[in-house]
Amino acid sequence: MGVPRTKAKEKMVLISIHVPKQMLEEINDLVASGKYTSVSEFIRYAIRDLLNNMRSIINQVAATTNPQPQGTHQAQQQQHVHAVLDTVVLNTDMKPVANGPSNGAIEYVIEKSIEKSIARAEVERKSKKAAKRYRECVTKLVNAILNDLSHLRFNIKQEDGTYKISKKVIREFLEVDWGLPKGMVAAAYGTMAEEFDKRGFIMRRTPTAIILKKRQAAEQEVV
Amino acid sequence: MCSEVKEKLVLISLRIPKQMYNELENLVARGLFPSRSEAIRTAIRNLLLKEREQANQYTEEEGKLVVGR
Repeated sequence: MGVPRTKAKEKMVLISIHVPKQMLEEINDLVASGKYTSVSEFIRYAIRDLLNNMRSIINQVAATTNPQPQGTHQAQQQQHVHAVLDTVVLNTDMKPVANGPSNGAIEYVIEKSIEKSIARAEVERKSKKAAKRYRECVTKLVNAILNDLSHLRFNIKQEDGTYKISKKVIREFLEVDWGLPKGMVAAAYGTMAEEFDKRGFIMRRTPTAIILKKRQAAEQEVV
Repeated sequence: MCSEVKEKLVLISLRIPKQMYNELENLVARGLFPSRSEAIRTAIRNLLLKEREQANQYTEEEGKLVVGR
């Protein structure tokens, strides 16, 4: 005879969802670090967390709202509130709350919490999008300059193996063509230097221009 | 001008307890989330944010330890 089961096996449901690739990569990193056993476990944990948060919001409301007046009206209102709690919070173990919160208060707190959550996600999404666009823009600029070394678009001046490009033209490309914010334009020079370095150029900055030199030529000068 | 790069989506399948599934369905039915997937994505996003905040906190603490040594 086998060992008798002490706990009934929980019924599981198979679901499929679309998630951004970046999000999955981040989850994979956490799984690889050993913090979670699998992607599924991470997601189940996240859902549990969300549902718990909803419950704690309701408890918070119950603790902070004012008692309702006694009488038939109160009984009716409590009944209504508990119906809302059961359907919104979905906590079947929840005991009726004495002098429970008003329906409006619950809705207000839930709404605020969701708004906050959505706003946070939106900020994160925007900053990721902006960072991606910024990188793409700088890469395009560097490619455009290197493809244009012998042409006129960037008004490049060549002297003794060095290329001089006016910062004004660069600013125009970043601000006007790409609509990059001013703060990012200032930061772009550092990223440009990295990009030029990858392509075998050393970049120097002056107050009005950037100066490019092929790394080989610069090294020969030093020797 | 730059053309908007569409975010790549990946389809994943997993098993969740039935009760959890019902709770999510109810949140959607109540209009708190537009869909079950959106509720799950929000849950994932929130947990990732929490994890990131924790990681940053540890990094800062490690920095302080190194500086204070």
